[in-house]
Amino acid sequence: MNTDLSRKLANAGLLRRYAIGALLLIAPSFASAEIAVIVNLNNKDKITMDDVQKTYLAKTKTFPGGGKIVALDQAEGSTSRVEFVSKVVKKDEAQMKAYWSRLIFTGKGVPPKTLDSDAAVLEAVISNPNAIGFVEADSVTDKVRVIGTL
Amino acid sequence: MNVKTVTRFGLSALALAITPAHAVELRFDGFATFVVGQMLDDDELASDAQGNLMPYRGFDDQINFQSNNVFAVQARADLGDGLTATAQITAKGADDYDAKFSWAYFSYELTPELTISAGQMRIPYFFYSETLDVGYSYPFVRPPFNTYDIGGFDNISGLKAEWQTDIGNWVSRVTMLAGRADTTLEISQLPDPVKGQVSRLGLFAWSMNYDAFTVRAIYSHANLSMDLNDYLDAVAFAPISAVGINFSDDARHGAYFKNDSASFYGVAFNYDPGSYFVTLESTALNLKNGFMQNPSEGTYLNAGVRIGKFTPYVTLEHVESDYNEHGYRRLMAEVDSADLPQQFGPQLGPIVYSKVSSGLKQLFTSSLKEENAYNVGVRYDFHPAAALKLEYMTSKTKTDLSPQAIAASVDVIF
Repeated sequence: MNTDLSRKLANAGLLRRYAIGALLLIAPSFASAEIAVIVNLNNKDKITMDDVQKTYLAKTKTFPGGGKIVALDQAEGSTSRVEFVSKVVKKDEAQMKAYWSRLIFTGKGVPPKTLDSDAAVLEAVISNPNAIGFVEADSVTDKVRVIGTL
Repeated sequence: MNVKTVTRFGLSALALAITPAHAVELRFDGFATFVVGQMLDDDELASDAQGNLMPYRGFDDQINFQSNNVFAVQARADLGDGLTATAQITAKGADDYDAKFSWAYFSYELTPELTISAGQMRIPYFFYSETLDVGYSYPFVRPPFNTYDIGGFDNISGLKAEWQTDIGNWVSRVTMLAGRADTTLEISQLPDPVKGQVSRLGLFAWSMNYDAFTVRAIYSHANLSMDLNDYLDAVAFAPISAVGINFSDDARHGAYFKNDSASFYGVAFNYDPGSYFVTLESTALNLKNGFMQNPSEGTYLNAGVRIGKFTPYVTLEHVESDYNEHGYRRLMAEVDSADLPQQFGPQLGPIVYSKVSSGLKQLFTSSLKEENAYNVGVRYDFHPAAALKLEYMTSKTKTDLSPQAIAASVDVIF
């Protein structure tokens, strides 16, 4: 009986170890969902997350220094975008779509250009001094300036 | 210089001329709305002067699939250096899907804050005016029906300036618009559509947004004409002239719509922090002359809660109008001075007098409206680019009718 119990306990311990191992496997994908908002290295403007939110809602069209903002978006449903829209713009993707439909069909704005990967956003931000974009924090390189991570 | 050189020179000049400095970027967007609806009980339908039942919100006792359907495509060409050309082509079920240019205009961004546009565009009378046809952009099946009824004067040919700037933490947007608009009005009492015209329209709208809160105010003034004057002469003034009262042009003008002053005021509040929203809008239309309702005022309150993909909402609306008492009194003054008892004798005179005055009163008050509307619905965002809506609508009218209808819509953007 004692041996049964100790085997059960041992099994439970094994299970727990598996469970922890599985969690560790999952954990990196949680960590990578952290989002970095990036601009060109030559952009020295002080930009807050509020400014970023306004930019993606077409309420701000210029940087504090006067440069015309070229905002970059990522594909709907992609991890980066879902996280960005919820954490920075503080809407969900459907609300974002309805909001932009009001701007598009009133001629008040054109949505940010959609690029298909973090790499493409990084490349565009490196090459355009007026660009702003968002990528998963892990993808960031030292060739761009990070405004903030969330 | 031989022919060959000239040709070569000509071709390269042509090549220079047609190669744009910037690649033209074309963008296409579209939207569609499919509505189906039916009245629950047609005993509650109001009828017009001929006794024909008038539909409620465009619905009658038959399932109606078509009249509220909209399909539209918008093309926008970015010509570079801040110049864009936009056209929106709309086909509506109510017009048998006859495709029309609802908008076509050029815009030039003078500065990132100031944009000038010229062409045909929507008149932004109401909070939701500019996306009136884009069902996907708002919570309800259709915006509050009576408040948003502006007699078909939706679009204008003219010039618009839009100035968007920051005032502290607020985003301010000022819109100024000038131009003219033509429309064709379907009036249930008349066999043929009536032509209407708004000229010298000027509009000033100012909206301020802070985070989730938006407030908007608008004022517009225009000169309004409608081809109803011959109709009025025939049905109202000719019979009265038979009893010897020939109204002066001045008095008739009180009933006509002839280049008359029309002013429109509106104010709207919207609070939308994401998990819920509240919109309150109130508008008033004042006409200087004319036999129709005047002034007419509409107010609605719309609120909803977003629970995942579902957005249940309610809309309460109140509209009421008064009659043009001034215009009526101008005509009555001439009836009074005609001294009917002397003409028709003490017995018949008062009877003729009361017939004439009640007929005129009816003319001025026949389109009066007082109605409370109650709508309950739910929006279901079943797809990233499509929403399904269900709405129950009912009203209480001044004549104690309580029409009810249900409607469903699918709104898509692409």
